[in-house]
Amino acid sequence: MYRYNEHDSAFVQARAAEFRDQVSRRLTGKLSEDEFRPLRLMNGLYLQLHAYMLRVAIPYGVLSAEQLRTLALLARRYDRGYGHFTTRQNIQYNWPKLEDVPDMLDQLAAVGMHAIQTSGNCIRNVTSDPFAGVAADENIDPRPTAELLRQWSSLHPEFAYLPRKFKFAVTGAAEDRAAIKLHDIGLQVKADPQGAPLYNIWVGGGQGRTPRVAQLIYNDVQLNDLLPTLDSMLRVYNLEGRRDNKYKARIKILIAEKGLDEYRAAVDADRAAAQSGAAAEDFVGIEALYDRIAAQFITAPLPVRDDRPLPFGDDAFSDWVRTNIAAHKAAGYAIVSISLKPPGGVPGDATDQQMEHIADLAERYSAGEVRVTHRQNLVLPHVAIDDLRSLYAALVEIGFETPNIGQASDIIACPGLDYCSLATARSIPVAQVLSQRLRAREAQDALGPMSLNISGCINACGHHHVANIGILGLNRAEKENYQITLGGRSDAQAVIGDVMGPGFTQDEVPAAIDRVLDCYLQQRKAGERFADTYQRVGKAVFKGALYVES
Amino acid sequence: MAKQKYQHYDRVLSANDLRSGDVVFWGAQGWQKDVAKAALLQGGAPADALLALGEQAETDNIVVGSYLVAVETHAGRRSAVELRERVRLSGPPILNAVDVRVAA
Repeated sequence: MYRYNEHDSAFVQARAAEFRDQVSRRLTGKLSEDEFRPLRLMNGLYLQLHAYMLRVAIPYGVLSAEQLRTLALLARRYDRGYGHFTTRQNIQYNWPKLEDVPDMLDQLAAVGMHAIQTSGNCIRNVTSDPFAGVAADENIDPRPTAELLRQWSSLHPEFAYLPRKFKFAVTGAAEDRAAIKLHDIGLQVKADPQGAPLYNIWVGGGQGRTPRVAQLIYNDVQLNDLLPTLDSMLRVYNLEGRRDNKYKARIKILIAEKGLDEYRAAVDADRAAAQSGAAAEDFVGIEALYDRIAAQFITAPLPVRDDRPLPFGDDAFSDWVRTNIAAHKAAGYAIVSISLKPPGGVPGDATDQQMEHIADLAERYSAGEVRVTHRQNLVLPHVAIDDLRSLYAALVEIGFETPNIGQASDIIACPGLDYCSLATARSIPVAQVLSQRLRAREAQDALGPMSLNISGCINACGHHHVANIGILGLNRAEKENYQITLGGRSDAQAVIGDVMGPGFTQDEVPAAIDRVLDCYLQQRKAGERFADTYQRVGKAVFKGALYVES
Repeated sequence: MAKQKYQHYDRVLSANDLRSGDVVFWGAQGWQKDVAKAALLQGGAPADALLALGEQAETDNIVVGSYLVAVETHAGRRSAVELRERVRLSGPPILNAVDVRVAA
């Protein structure tokens, strides 16, 4: 794992001390709420529907066992005994008191963590493949690039007040597990013949009220050109992105209005100007920096093990192996996904005790490392195949043995109106009912891999636009109404789902989803996944099935 | 905030407590958490005085973001008219991870 150096640690601690002073001045009335709000948001502290909410950054979703224990401690000491892992690989605490937040930040700083740039119109936490560095299908480890971006973007003075928030994602694998085409900028890293990184850069993706799949703007960018290129891409957006309407302020709107070719020409012109000016020296030595970062991601060698097949049988353990295990690049090892989606549970929630148990398991079985996925699950990246059965038994003890990774009941759900002040409907109760129903159908009908995501408003934090089955909660005359989209995908073939038609009440949603699944089972051919069947059959057939009883 | 179209409803003054963030309501006993104890502004009555009281409490660093919430009373129990406020009054009506574990 990457470890902050002394400079980084001193900075994070100083930032926590600075916020302690700001909170003190707010509580004694020296700062008004109008003066304090931007300061608290710069430190990830929101005021939500019921209480304050603190969002803590987990850079590219990588945690040490020690850090996870600290997150558990914060949940127990300052919250209500749980935390919520988010679709940006972060964690949120829903009930902190303002006067406690400085202590929380101090404890985070002690393990190299913080809440900086988890809010505001800046470059947010960089996300990546949760299997980075260990996936068998990986071309090159994306973590050094993600860390390079983190260092470049942290407190970047020019990009602290962008027209709107800005999100990066990075992948280095054949399969896109980071949804790079749904980000403002997505990086696909490849290795050149010498093993150096080469980048394909995608721009203008995003969800929200104007969902867009990103477009490829640059191919095969070399490492020493990466940051100058990104710098110019951000600068053009910063100068030309709309600030008159926050709903039209993301880079996807600039790209749509300006056109990709014209945007690219503006970026190229900016780069040319920067190279001939004082900024030409800004990025000298990037390759050496990258190498120093990459060296820190070399995990202590795992004990050499013989390659062996995964232990498949017909018991519950084998069901879990089939769904929750992915191929590791080292012989004799596996990548284990821990589902935070028990039937009837709140997607992404974990209690303090569960977090501590997983930290223990990470130390015992996974070289002390944990990952957070954008699908709101956790990952143990280095588990010996011989240890899978004992790890499974330990997960049973804490209720996290659900064998549903990548299945319909592995539901992404935003906090929705239960917590979020922007939401228009609740997401969590819908997910709780559906996950129980879908678990039963997964076993009975062999539904196969699919995604079902729920957002509580059009901002789409629950990624409903890119789910095979998406559910969007709206407020219709002060009653919750749920609109269904079908056919979305967030992988390398990313596509925005089709809106079906009139929405459903919360009570009607489970039966509506059943009708969609029945249609899929009737139409699918051997070997097809839901997305394949939908693509082949088309919207009209599924829409007809969805509204047959309406 | 209660929209213009809800001004003919009874309303209560709500905010978040500055220190705890808790949802609070203004009543005879000051700012407290129970909507049943909130002072009721009759439907259609001028709201200026109550809103000014909320603004003063913000200036005094007691609460944050005061506003009026339209409410109805059925069988002696107050509930909010707007969906968002109904959820805000009742708190998250969900099982959190702790409850799921206990229920299991």
